[in-house]
Amino acid sequence: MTNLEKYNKVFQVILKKEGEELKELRYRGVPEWDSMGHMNLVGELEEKFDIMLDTPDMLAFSSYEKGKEILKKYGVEIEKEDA
Amino acid sequence: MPRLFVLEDRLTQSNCYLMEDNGSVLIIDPNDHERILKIIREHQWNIDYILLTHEHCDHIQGLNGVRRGYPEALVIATAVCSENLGNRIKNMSGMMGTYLHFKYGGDKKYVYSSILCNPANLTFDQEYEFHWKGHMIQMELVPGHTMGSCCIRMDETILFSGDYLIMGEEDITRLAGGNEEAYETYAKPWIEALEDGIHIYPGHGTDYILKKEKR
Repeated sequence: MTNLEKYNKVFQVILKKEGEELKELRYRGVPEWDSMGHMNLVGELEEKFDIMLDTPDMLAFSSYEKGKEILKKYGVEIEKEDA
Repeated sequence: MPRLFVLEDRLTQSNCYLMEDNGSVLIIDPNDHERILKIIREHQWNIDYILLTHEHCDHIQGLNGVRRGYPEALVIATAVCSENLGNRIKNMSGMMGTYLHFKYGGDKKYVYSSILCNPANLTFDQEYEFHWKGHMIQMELVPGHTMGSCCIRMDETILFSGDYLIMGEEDITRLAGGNEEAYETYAKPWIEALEDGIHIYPGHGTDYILKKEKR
């Protein structure tokens, strides 16, 4: 499984969103991504990629795309999606 | 009756319950080990038991400190709770700073260190009961808030409900380890079957007497 697939899977499991919906996901943009959804998202990403996010990064994690940038700081490169 | 002390944690607002009877103490959800140890040492009491309602960090953040001070105290929890005590994601300590930021709002950053605890000394799957100072203590698995959540009865008249039955709040199943299906199947009917008149001591907020119209 690629990092992109793992990354997408986390959003699918926690926020119940898939495919094209993923790219548009933002914190509080859907009912599932509220403060509690955010906790679960962060926890699942930490577990799946075996990383520990600092609190400022947890707070800065405001969208699906922003999350990719943040994970890069922790050595997790999310592959670009095919056009 | 034993004397009951309530220690509310200033940061997370969790309740720790400390029961004392003739110098022996039973603690439920140790949240602030410095305050707990101060009271115990000032009175020269001894801790017999530490009971955990569930594994979330606001309910166990004082466990390591209390255990260091009183290593002979017996820690009792459900098997699932015990297993998750040493997992910073399952016990939520890895993200508690963020959680508090959302909970309280504003620009303040909350510093909250990860908490890793050793397993309980005694675990159970469904229920465990014992006598302490002439009182019947019954711990019962009530999965939903987490799969390792339990409620603790004393003498059928008092219920330490953990993060269930918090006054004015819905029971939450969306935090780490929570399971909505388990809540609907097990916890909700269990809570609905509770008898009127039982004194509820929840993991947050004030205690109250359960009455049907309050449910």
